[in-house]
Amino acid sequence: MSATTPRSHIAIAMIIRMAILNLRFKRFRSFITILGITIGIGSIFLLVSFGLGLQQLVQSQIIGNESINTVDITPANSRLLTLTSDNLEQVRAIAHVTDVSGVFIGASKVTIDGSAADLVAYGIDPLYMKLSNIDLIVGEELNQDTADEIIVNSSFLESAGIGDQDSALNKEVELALVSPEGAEKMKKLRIVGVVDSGAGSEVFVATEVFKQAGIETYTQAKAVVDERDSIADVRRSVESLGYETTSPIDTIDQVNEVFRFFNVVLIGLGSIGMVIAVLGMLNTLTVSLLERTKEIALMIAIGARPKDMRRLFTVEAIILSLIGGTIGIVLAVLLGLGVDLVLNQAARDRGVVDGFSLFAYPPLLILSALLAMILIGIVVSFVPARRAARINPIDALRQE
Amino acid sequence: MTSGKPLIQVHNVSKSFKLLGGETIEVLHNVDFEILDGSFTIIYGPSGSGKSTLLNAIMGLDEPTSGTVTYEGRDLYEMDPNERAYFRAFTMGMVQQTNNWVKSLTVQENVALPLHFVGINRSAALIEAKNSLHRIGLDNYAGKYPGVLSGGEQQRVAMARALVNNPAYIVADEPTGNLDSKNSDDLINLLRYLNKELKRTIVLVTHNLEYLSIGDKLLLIEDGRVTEMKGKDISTTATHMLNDMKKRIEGWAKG
Repeated sequence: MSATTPRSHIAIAMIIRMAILNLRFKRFRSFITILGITIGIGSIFLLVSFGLGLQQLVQSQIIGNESINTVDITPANSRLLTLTSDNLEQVRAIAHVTDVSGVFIGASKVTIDGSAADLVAYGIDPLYMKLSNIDLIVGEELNQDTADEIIVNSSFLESAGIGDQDSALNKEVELALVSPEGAEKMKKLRIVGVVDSGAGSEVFVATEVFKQAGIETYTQAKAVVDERDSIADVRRSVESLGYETTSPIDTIDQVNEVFRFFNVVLIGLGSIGMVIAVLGMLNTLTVSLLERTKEIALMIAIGARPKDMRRLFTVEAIILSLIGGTIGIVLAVLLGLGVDLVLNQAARDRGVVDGFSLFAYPPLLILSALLAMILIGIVVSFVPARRAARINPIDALRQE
Repeated sequence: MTSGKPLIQVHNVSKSFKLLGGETIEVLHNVDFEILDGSFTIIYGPSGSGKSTLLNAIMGLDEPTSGTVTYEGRDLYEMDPNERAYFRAFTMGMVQQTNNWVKSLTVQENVALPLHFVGINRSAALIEAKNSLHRIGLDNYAGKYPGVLSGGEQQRVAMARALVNNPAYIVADEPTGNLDSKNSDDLINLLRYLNKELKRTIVLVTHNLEYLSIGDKLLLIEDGRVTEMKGKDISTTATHMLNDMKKRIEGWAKG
């Protein structure tokens, strides 16, 4: 037996085992401590997942399913600097730009069933339609080549007195655009689709329709960027060409800015419970240390290293905080799912179709919560563990 | 019989404590002795004589104020604390008059602790602990918790714990204190067996005058000073002390 010693000190697995046995031995106390930690970490986790969930909800409401990796380009002063096809090619050549789409926006007069209305007409291509999140209610997309089709929005049909959107399809309208020279260019077009965009009357035609009317300069353009991190670079490059840029990222950044603050407030609120839980844990460890002074002294006397005793206390604290943390996170997730379920049911009863979630549980949040629990265990046990390591072994031998 | 080589050398050891008032008391005065490898040494002394302090010093638990304690020529207090911990776990076995336990562990697990402290794996340590309990005749106690045992049972379990590492050097501080005479004799006989047959070095502290003469060497400690006796001197002294005690008891009985 005495001949072979694979290791000259106690295995960490044995320390963990001793820690677990001791926590089990003091079942009720361990349970109360874990309960405190469960409540503490659970409330923080619930509040933070609520903050993150709300943030995601707000973002998705603002952005919709519009791609956020885009840059909107407008000429700063359209008299000095125009946005032509050549300019679009310049933008397309910028690194990280994967696609560019120009749009014409012009005043127009549209005549349908003999009555004429002044409204805004858009000359768009399929990419722009997709990026701008213009969804067809009925009908189909514009044929870019024939340039004899038009898409109208529902407000237009309402003001024209056409209630049934399906019946509007294939109706003929007359579009009058004003050319740069001031001449009105007329064109007969067929309605192929209806969209639900905008508050006022709008119509959409192929870019070719504007070009045929002699209009060569785009009102604005959208550039698609390959990844979010490149957006700032692309904007700088576009701005160096003399254009102004905006991006959905700007809005998102503002939202995030607000939520950063909001989340800090939530963490602060949740931390009150956590502080109490941590104090409870500190109390448990301190009482345990006082109770076990002789036990620790004995172990040092019969060959435990002082640092093994320090580890024993640290391990006990980590076990307490990890168990409490895990249960707290699980309960918080369940509670969040329950609240979502109830709210979604209530929303459906009131006719809301889209499901939503008020809580978000990114894996990083769960991971960092667990890491934080380990860290809390180490920090809280620091003083009791250090005191355990300093216990004098002759205390174990002293007789009362 | 001893091999004649010194195992423990206590050289010029003094120990003093500072009291709360600032006063210093010296508990050990320039103590000097050797414990030979394979010897059986008895330490006898009244309480308050500095006996515990001396024992702590030779177990590597309490550093003397001055002087040296060496084991196989190595100064125990020059070792780093981890090395000294290894010495206590692996080289030495100790039994106290009152023993402490890790209350959340069973008797068997408690007995296995010194093995865990030197890194022996759990299953091997538990088997060895079982064997050690068996040698003391405590097989039935393995699964119990130490808290439910009587003082005498605890003493014997502590013996099993002290022997689990098969230590070369055993320090027993009044191990028979809580035992009846039958169990006391059994335990002393076990120590004698370990010494005679297995060549273990034994240091036994006892108040029992009957046991004084079983050692090769007797260390009488009084007021922090040690008097060393060997061979015939021991039995002479023991007889003398026994007679002395008898007289005193007779004296009390008369008056």
